[in-house]
Amino acid sequence: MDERHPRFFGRTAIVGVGFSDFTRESGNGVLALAVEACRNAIEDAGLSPQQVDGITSFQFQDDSVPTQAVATALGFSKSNYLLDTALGGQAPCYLVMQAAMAVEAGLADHVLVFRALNGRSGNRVGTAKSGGPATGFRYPIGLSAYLQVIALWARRFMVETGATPEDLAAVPLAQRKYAALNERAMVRKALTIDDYMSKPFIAEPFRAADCTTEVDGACAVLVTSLDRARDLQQAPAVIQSARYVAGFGSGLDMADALLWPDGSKNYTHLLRDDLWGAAGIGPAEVDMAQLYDCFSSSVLFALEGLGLADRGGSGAFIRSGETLPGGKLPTNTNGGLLCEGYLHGMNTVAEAVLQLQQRCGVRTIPDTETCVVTSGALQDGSAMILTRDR
Amino acid sequence: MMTTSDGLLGFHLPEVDPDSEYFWDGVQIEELRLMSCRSCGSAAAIPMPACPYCASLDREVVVSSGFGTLYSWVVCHRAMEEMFAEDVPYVIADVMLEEGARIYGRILEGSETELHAGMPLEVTFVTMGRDSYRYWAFRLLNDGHN
Repeated sequence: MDERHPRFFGRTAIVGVGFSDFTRESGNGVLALAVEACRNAIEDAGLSPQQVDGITSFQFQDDSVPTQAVATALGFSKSNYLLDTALGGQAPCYLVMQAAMAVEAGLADHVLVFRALNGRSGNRVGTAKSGGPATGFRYPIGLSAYLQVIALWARRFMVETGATPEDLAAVPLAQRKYAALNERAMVRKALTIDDYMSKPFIAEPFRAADCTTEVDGACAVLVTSLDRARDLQQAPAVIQSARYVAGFGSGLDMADALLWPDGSKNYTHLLRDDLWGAAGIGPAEVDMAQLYDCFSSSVLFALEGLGLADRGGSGAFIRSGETLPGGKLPTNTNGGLLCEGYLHGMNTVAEAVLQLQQRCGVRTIPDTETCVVTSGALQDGSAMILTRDR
Repeated sequence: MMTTSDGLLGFHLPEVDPDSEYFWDGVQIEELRLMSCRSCGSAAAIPMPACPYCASLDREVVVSSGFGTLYSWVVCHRAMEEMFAEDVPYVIADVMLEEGARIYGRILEGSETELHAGMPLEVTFVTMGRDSYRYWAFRLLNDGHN
C-alpha cells in the first residue's frame, strides 16, 4: 500500500452544489448551461462569483466550453487557477482532487469543478465515436461506440466471474427505484425484470436499460479548504481520501484495451487499498456508494473492485436489497447516470455531497456519515471517500 | 446494390501513418504482422514506437501464425453508424493470438454461433466495404484444434 498521505486529505471539502435544468433539448448553448450550474453552486455555498478564483472542467471530443469563458461570463475578478482537460468519465473525482490540491497549495481559495454539455441534442454518447490513435484497429470494422467497447469488458467480466444477465439487470432495476424519487432524473419509470428482458439487445450483453440516459445539462461543485468551508452556508463534505490511477497497458486511447492484462477488472481494483488505507476505513464500514455507471456493468466492476461486494457476488448483493434504502450500502441514490442523466459522473459526485448534507428530499438516506465515489469505468479512473465534518 | 464477396459492406478506411505502415502493408498481402521485442520476448499488435512491456527499441516485425482464442466479444445488434446497417448483427472479438498479443476483429458468421471464451479462431482476410479494402477477420475453428 502507498503510505504517502497527501496534505489535502482531511483538510479540503466540497461545499456547494449546482445544476442547470436537465432536458432532452436545452435550447441553450453549453456556455449558458455551464454558467447556470456554476452560479447555482456558488450561491449554494453562500459566496459571490468575485470570491471564486479557480475553475476546472473536462470535455470529451470538444463537446464543452473553456473554463476561461465560464470565468469571464461569471464576472470573476481574477482567476488564479484554470484547468481544462480532455477527459471523460474518469475526470470528476480527479478534478476535485486537482481543485483540492490547488487550494491546499495556496494557489486558490475557492475552485469550481463543472461539467456541461448538450449530451442529448448535441454530441450524443450513444453513437459518438470514441476517438484516438488506435482507431484504425477498430473503426473500420464497426467497433466505434463507447457502449460496444464497454460491452467487451462486460462480457469478459461475465466470463471470469460467472455474472449473468440477471446480474446486469439488477443494476437498473435497483436504480430505477431511486430515480422514481428524484425529480431531476430523466428516466423515472419503474422497471421489472420482464420489462428489462423484453427489450432487444443493442450491443450484447447490453439492452436499453443497461445504458446511460443522454441529457442536456450541467453540474458544478465548489471546493475549498475545510477551515473556510466551516464558515460557509452548507455543511462541508470533507475529502478524506482520493486517488487516480491508470494501470499498466492503459492503451493508446480509451477504447484500446488490448494490452490490459485482465478485462474483468478495471482501475477500481488498482486504487482500492490506497483509497481505503488513507481514509482509515474499510469497505465494510462505508455508509454509501455513488459509483460511476455509464453502463450497468460498471457498477458491478466497482462494487467488486473496491471490495464492497465479493468477487462474483455483486449482482446477488444488489438483488438482496443491500443497495436500496435500509440496505448495508445505499448506492447511486439519484438513479445513477443510467436514470438521472449522463453528465459524465459530475452528478455522481454532487449526489454524494448532497446525501452527506442530508439535502436529497425524499431520497435522503438518514445518518449518512461516509460515502465512496468513483469516476470512470475502464483502464483509468479516480475515486474519493467523502465524510461529514467530525 | 453492390456487394462484396464477403457481404461486409460497412467500412472506414484506416488511417495509416509512418509508424503503422508496416502493419497495413502486411494486411494487404494477407500477413498479420506483430512487433516482437528482442529484449523481453513480448509481442504487440497495435504499432507503438517502443516495446510497451519493457520500453526496448530492439524489436522486429514478425508474422503471426494467425491462430488465437476468443478473449471477449460483443454482438452488435444495432448499427451505431449508418454504414453498418446492413451488417448487423455482427460480432467483434477481442482475440488472444498465439504469440500473446491481443487484437480486435470481426468473427465471420459469428452471430450464428454460440460463442464462449477460449474458442479457437484463425485469422482470415476479407474484402471490406465498397472500397474493397483488404482487412483481417477471424473465423471459428472446430473446438479441439491446437
